[in-house]
Amino acid sequence: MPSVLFYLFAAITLLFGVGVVVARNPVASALSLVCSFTGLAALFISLDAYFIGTLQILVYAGAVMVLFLFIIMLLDIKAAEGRQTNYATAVGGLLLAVLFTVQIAMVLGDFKEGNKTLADQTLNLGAAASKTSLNTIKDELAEGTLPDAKLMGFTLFDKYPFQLQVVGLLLLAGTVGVVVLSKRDRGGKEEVS
Amino acid sequence: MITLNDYLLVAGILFAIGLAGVVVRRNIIVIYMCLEMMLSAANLTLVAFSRFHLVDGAPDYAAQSLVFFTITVAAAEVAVGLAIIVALFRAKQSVDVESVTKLKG
Amino acid sequence: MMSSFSIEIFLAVVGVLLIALDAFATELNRKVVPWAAIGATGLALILMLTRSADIPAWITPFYATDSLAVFYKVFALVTTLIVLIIALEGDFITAYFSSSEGVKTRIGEFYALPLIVCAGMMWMASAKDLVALFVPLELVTVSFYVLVAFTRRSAMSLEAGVKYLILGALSTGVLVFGIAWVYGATGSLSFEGIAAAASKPTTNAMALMLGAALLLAGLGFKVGAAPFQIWIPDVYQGAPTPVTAFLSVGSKAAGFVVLTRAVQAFTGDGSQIATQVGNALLSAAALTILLGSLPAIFQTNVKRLMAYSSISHAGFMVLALACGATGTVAFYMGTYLPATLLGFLLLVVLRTQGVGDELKDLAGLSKRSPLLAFALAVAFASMAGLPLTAGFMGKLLVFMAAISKAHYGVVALAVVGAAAGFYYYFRPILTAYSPVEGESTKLQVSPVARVTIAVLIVGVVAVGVYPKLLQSVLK
Repeated sequence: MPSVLFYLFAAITLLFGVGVVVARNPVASALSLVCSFTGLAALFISLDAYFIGTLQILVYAGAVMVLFLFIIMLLDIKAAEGRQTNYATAVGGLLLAVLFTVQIAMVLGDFKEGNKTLADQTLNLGAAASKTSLNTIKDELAEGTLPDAKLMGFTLFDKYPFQLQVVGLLLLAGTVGVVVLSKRDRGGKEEVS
Repeated sequence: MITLNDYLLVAGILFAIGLAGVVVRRNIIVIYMCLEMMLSAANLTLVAFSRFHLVDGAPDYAAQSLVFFTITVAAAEVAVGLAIIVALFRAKQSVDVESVTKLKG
Repeated sequence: MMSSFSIEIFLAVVGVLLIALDAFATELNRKVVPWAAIGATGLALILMLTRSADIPAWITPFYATDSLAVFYKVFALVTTLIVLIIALEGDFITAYFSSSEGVKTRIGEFYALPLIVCAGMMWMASAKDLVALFVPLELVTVSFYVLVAFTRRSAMSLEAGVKYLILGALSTGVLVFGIAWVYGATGSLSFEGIAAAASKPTTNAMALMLGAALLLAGLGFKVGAAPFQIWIPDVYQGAPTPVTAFLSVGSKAAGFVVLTRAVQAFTGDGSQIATQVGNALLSAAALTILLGSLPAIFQTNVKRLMAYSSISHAGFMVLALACGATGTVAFYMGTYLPATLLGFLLLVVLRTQGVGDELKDLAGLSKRSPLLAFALAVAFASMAGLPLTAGFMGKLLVFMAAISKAHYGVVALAVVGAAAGFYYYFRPILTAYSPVEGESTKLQVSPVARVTIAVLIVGVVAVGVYPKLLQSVLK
């Protein structure tokens, strides 16, 4: 990917990320997060992770953020009721973010492996094709395209089939939990004590 | 040219922004959004490392499987989390962190 | 003869079936769900003790069946069984606070979810790589979000639910970021690969340190090690008591098994970061013991007191881990189980009789029910580490491990913590045995609770008098 596009999408991701934190209105925060996640999806795609990039759009920017917006609208949460910003926590938060970034930057300064560019690490699809057992993947690799979703699916079912089942169990437990936590009984009063 | 470190730095800054948001914001829903941002930053780190750690010439899909799982888990977590937040709102008519200070000691 | 893997699947399937059964339940099988859950767990425990050692070949890349995994699987089953009994004791309290005023609601999920959680904890104990660790860990965490906030009509439970949710999600974020960096530095997701890469000079030590620190911090949240213990008192106090028991024994121990595996991978032979990780664990242990023991002195609520006590216990376990004594960590967990579950069972039994969690509510307990007062004395004496109880052996082994590694400073702090323990653990006992003026009603204890209390008391004393009992299981 040309450097310009990387900087563009990185800027979108980070600036809208800041927007989530500073926006007073929760709806604005949520929409900022959608934009930030879209930029992030572009970064995923620039890393040849097409499937993850698509998921990021579909699941995060799509489903999850719609859920957030829906709840914000449903509860009719007002913007931060004109309350004064607490400067002590704001400074604390900023300091924490800066410290963490400096820490990461220090590690990166020492991390020589990280100086490789995508051009240094080109995909070797021919080598990948010779190692694959599944014909549909092999053919596409031999043609010189990266069958990202197929390779992803193959790894999931070949290496982590059991974890995939456990995630299913997790989603079930989550669904049951949501029902338990939000059902209302007919004819009863909802009083919290 | 763009290096692996550039990606990692972007991910690190995104994580830091999310962390700051968790500390600064008072609205529980916004705090929760910031947590999702942190998780996404972790995903970017994983994907970047997986692209630069080639296995037989292709990106390391084992690490990308983990990203797949974290996205799924995050979706489930958001559903349960918002249900709890809605229950809290019904009880207190507020989603401010000030409304959860009964337990102390 | 079933393999441990089949037993876990059995538990999860029964959990799902019970959710379905509860959804279509009539009055009759409403009562069936708790007993079915208890029966299934008991059966799973029996199957586990007579399991066959072979596991399917396809799961071996991510599934360990070493002694630590097997020990913890039995541990998780015992914990779940007793937690379900505690839940059944307090059934009507949970039902009251989880439904609208004047409506009788089904709470079958409260018994079905623990089975799924138990299966998840057993899978965690077997995790050989970080993906196999992450997925069951999140299964357990998400289920606990639901369980903590389950009694949604109690403001305290909701508040605990929100706090657990925020800090749980935060710890997940930190954990995944840590996993990403560990993977980036070592190029491997399996504990074996990480250990191998950590000793190679070509591995970047700074990057690995960052990853290890974040990963250990994420797991530190789960076990409640300082400085990530802040959520424990509020969540433990607010959650329904059976869930608190489950969190403080089952979830904490599962976290320690995983932590043990991670620490072993980071501090293997020739690891570049072994000393740093060891020192970080030592300081965390000292801080955890102090931050658990000192605030505990000022507590007036027994449930909150037990929360602080669980922090200080976590500190002792981290200390054993820092000394590389993984067997001692498991042994300490084994001594921690009966005393803690006994304490929470007593709180539930008292609550059903209208006795609250405050320290002053315990006054005159010895007159109202000698059995409960004695059980309370045994539980807290073991937590304090009185000789002839299980807790004494646990603390002794931790001190021995720390002294053998010459960590005298931390040992001194741990002694201070243990000494403080003698003060705050004996306060409830003294209150229970203090004489009170006037008439007091006798307390009723159900037969199930009587049997469970007796079994747990025997467990505490048996391990205290004859520790080889537990040590032989660990072999």
